[in-house]
Amino acid sequence: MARQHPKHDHERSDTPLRPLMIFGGALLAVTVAAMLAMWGLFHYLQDKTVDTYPQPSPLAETFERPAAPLLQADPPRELEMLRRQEDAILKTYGWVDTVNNVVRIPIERAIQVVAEKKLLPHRPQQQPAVAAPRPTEEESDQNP
Amino acid sequence: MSPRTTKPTALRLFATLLLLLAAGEGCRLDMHDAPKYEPLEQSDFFADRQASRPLVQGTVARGYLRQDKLLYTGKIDGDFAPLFPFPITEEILLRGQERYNIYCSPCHGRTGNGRGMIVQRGLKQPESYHSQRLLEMPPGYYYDVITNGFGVMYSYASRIKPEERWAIAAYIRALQYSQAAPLEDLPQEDRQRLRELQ
Repeated sequence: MARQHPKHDHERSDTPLRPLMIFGGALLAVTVAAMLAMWGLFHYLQDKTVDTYPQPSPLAETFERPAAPLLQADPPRELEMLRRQEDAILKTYGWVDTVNNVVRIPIERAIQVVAEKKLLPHRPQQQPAVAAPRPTEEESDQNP
Repeated sequence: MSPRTTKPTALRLFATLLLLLAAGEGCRLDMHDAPKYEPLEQSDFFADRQASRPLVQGTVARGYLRQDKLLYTGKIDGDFAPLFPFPITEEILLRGQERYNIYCSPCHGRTGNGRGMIVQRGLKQPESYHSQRLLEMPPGYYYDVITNGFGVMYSYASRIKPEERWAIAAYIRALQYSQAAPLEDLPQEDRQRLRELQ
């Protein structure tokens, strides 16, 4: 058995409880006091601010919109509204310039007129004909 | 035959079989060690000492032969083409409309005014197709922009086939026409409806 050094020995008494309790109580008291002081200071400064500045009229309150881009609160409804606005332009007849007789016609009608009257010039087809795009859902695997 | 003699014999047979199997495995090289060049290996056979050979000059990958310059570039002698490479039928215009509404309308809007839903959420607004500048642009210009992109718009070449890019360009023309059609161009029935609106 190794010899024990006289200065290095196990504690022969329990931890003193009284100083710990005093320290804990003091810590709690300081914390509560600090919170009360902050609460009092907050209200003091708030009252002082209200006294200093004139109260704005309730009618002067404005709603500040968040910075752009605006977030969508109701995407389906907003898309439906946009579609309606576009359809009002794309599916109706109207006058654009009554003096020069310029008009607006529905897009489906415009497609028919452009195709029937051959308003879009194309290359003479004596050269090897190019296959027109077929209405299929095939995805192209050809890059330019 | 007693069990005493059977058991060691069976064990010897089993051990021999295992040894044969193990040895046989070593004989199966197949093509693991075939005489071949590894990628980028040096070769003394070719003059440039490279085992990996370049493509033969003039090689064209399947599906990448672009002989029709107008169809694939939208240009004639370096200028935007003022015409389409094939006749524009109603079927092509409808196909262009479908493709336009899928790929273009989120930014350009279905009316072509540049106020699509994404623009309303903060993306930079593209120019309206009904502006004087774009009304005067030839169809090859639209094909070129779809192919190569413009400003914040990226290239759609990997998404839209060349023929369909022309179909979209044709539809944009129809869209422009629908919003500024000369009255005298229209059939009688349309004129009548417009007269009623006056």
